Formats: sequence, structure tokens, C-alpha cells
Amino acid sequence: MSRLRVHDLTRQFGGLTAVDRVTFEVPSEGVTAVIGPNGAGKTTLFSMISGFLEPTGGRVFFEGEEITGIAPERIAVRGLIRTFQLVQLFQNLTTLENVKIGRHLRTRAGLLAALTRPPSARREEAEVEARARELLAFVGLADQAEVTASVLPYGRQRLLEIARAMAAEPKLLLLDEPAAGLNHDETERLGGIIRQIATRGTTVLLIEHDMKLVMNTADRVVVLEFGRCIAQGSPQAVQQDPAVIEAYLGGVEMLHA
Amino acid sequence: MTSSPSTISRDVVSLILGQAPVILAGALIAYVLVSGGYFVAVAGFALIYAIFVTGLNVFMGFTGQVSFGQNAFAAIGGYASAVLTTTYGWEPLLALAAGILGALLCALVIGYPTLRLKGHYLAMATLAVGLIVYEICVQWDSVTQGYTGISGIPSLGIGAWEVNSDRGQLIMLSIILALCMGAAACMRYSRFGRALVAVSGSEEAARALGIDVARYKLLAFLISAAYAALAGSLFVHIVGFVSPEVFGMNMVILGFTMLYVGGIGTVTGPLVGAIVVNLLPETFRAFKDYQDLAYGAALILILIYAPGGLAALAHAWGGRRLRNDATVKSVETPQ
Repeated sequence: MSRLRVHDLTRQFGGLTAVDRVTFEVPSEGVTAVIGPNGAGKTTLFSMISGFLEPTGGRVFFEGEEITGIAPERIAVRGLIRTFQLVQLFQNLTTLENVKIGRHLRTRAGLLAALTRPPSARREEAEVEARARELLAFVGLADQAEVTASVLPYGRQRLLEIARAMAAEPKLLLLDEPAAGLNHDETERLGGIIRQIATRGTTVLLIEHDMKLVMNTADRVVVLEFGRCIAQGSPQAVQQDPAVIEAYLGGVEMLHA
Repeated sequence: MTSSPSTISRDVVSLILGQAPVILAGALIAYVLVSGGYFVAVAGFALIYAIFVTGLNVFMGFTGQVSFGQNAFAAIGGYASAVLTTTYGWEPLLALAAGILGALLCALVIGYPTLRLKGHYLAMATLAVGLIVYEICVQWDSVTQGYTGISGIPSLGIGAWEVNSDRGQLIMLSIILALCMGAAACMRYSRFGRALVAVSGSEEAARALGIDVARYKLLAFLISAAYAALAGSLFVHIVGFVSPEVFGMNMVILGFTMLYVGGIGTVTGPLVGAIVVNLLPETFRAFKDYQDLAYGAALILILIYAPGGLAALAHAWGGRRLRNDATVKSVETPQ
């Protein structure tokens, strides 16, 4: 069974159709990438899948169950966690605290436990701390656990957001342009991290502009243009698809970069 | 790098600096207890306000919401205590509990619909609630005795044992405040508190991580209402008198001033703010006619030179150290 199935998904803003009857499936294994020129409707598509934007038509199925129009926090409970194109960190908190907040769905302690601190809550808190440090190490931020998130360089903020999302142990991780604003080395490291996430059993769906990252990390590619899905398949197949080459026009070199 | 001797000593210094507000406040209260007199009453009000502002801080500082109507919950607590003890002869402690319960109920009814609103709408709704409760206190003559107010409210106590002396009351208030601040600290550094600060940091990110934003806003609102009702109730039991003015708009303004001067979002900030804002006018008594002017200037200076509040000064110092480390590291390690 596929992890995610998007069927005829549509979103109109006034007279503009940002996403036009897009249909595709994301299998449980590996990395799937959604690519397309600017304004192709990629972020709108993501917002609808993650519940932040109500579709005007079509349906979304997660693990076979319909999630169309459900509130984002309810979708997150099911194991679909997203990141944002413009990093949305808890700016005033330390990197460690940011990742700890990501554990919210995997922990139980409430107000009463906060006040009385029973052994179960203390165990849970120790587990949260350990897991958060593990994830910081995973993305290479172990030595900056006590640094305030807002002072991290941009590339590291992106990595922190991924670590925070992974703290929720998602079944499906949605990454919205994770390489935007990263330099060459950082993008390369990011690619490695994304592959590792997929190897550990989390399905990854990403929107990306950086063709090199897509070609190196994605197992499947979905191509959008003007809100429509114009091609899908393996990176190699998509690269040779005439419709895709046409869509990118001057961007042919970019495709082969 | 982190284990170099200079870093360790700096860690110790920032730890002491971080606890400085509590140590200073403790010393101040001890001094007032020994010296006695007029300042016992001033210190008492400061502690009651510290409880009120600690609650306000849970809602505004931790959760990042705005409420102009906290005086409503203080009024509910205060009037419940006043009416139930004088008219119906209830035990003060029972009346206090009833006041808190009443405030919680009221906060639930107001909060459930309005906390789904964002930003200014919520602030306007809470402002309205504060004004409505004030009007009720004025107009509901048969119960509240209007502007005349209710006097002869008994002191707090259990059974025959009452806390009557000024010093006894100050000790009692210190203990209650310590418990209230301890509870706030426990909340902040737990899964619950992290959810609150997540809501304040970015509602979108919080929702994306599965945090039920509306639920946590409501819980924070209820907690702040309970603190306000407790403060209101303590006030009337200590003063022995209540009138609508006690819980007027000036209470909200004072609360805000204390919160920002002390340090919004910090655990010790409310205590620092309550003490400074209560004692500052007294220190400027020598200025006579210019007392208010000097007081206002002092507040403005504090907000300019300590924009995060006085309690945040120590943290700011620690933060600068971390910031330097971060820049150094990002330059040092081109992976």
C-alpha cells in the first residue's frame, strides 16, 4: 500500500488554478521529489497535503485513510510531519529545546505530571533529552545544543528544523525546499541526511529546486507545471521526458547540472 | 572548549546571576520582616501582585497571548471571598477555593470561543470582559454594595487559627508566592511548558508538530485566571476590604508594567517586576512633587537599557557568550 495518495487535488485562488487535478502516489519506501518551475504550485500542494490549506477539489489519502481537510495537528498525529519553505523555528529557544518540542507527539506528560513530577514523567523527560541530543548529533549540531536557534547560520537552521521534525518519528516527512539558501557543501550533506532518513524507514517527500540534490537523492520524481502534473517516474526517465525539457526550456542545463 | 576553566567560572557566575533576583527578593523580605512598619504592607502588596503577574506571565510570556481582562478574574476571586465570608459566613479558605473555581469557570466560558481568535480580537474580547466584570461589581448593589464596597472581611486561617499579624501575613504570602513560582517553573520546564512556548514561537510550526494550539492557549488562560483569582482573594483577606476600584483597569496596567520591567517569559521576572514597581515610587518620595515624573523616567530607562526586563539581564549576558561561540564555530569548521 502506498504511504500517500493524492487524487485529483485542486486549489483555486479566485480565477487562478494553482493546483489543477494533480494525482500521484508516494510509495512507503524511499525519497519522492516534487519539482517544477517557480509558481508551479508545489508549496500549495504541500499545504493541502499537510492540512494547512483546504483544497477546492480532490482528495488526499494517508496510509489508505482519507485526510482531506483535516486540521494540521490531527494529520501530524497520524505520522505526517512537514517542514516549511521559510524555516519556522522557535527562534528564542535553544536548538535542544526546539528538538525537544518535536517529541510532543511521542510523549504523554500533561500539566499534572509537570507539577508533581512522578517517576514516569522523569523517565520520559530523560528519554526526551537523550533522543533530542541524538537527533542533534544526527544532523551535526551536537555541539550547539545550548545555542539560541535564531543565531544559527541559515543552513544550520534548516538542519535543525529537520531534526525537530524527525523527533516526532514521522512515517512520512514532507520537506519544503530544504536546500534553499544552502551552499554547495551544505546541500551535499543535506542529501546524505535525507538518504539516511529514508534508509531508517521514514518515507520522504520533498519539494526541491536544486536539481543536483533531486537527481542524487530522489527515487521518484513528480513534475508540476502551471499546477498540472506533466510527468512522473525515475529521475533518469523524467530527465529525458520531452514535456519536462519543454517546461524547463532554458533550464535544460539546470536539469543536467 | 566547553571545559576550559574560564568557561566554567563564567558558567558559575551566570548561574548566580540567574538566581540573583530570588536571592535579593528573599533578603528584602527578610529585612522588611525584621524592620517591620509601613514597608510590611508595601511588601505584602508586592507579593500579591507577584502572584497575579506570575499567572499573567504563563499566558502572555510563555504562550505569547495578550489579555487585558485579568482584573476580571482577580475581581471574581476577591468578591467571592468577600461576599461568601461576610454575608454567608463561609470559612475564608473555602471562599478562596470557590473564588478560584468561579474564575476558572468564567475563563472557560470566555476562553473557549475567543481563544480561536488571533491577536487583536482576543485582546479586545478580554478587555471587554474586564470592563463587564467591573461594571457588575459597581451595579450589583445588593451583593457587592457598589462603590461603598465590603468591609470586615476576615483574615485567612484554618478553623480557629488565623493569620492576623502583619509579619505572619507576610510570611504566609511569601510561602504561597514561592509555591506559585515553583509551579510556574515546573510548568515551563516540562512537556506542557514546551508546548506553551511553542505556541508563542510559531503557531504554524507547533501545529505541524501535532500540538493542539487552541487547547494549550485555553489551558494557559485558565492557569492565569486561577492565579489572578488567588491574588484577588488574598488581597481582600489581607486588607479586609474590597471595592470595585481595587480591581479596575489600573490593575491591568500595573500588571503589564511589572511583567515588562521584570522580564516577560522568565520565571523570576514577575517577582522582580512586582517588587521594583511597588518600591520604586517609595524610593522617589524625596522628589516630592516630581515623584511621579522620576518614577516614570526610571521605568522608561529600565525598558530602554533592559528591553528583555531586569530578570533577563543575566540571561542576556549568558546569551552573548553563546552567540560568540556560535560565530566562532561556524567560521572554524568548514566540514
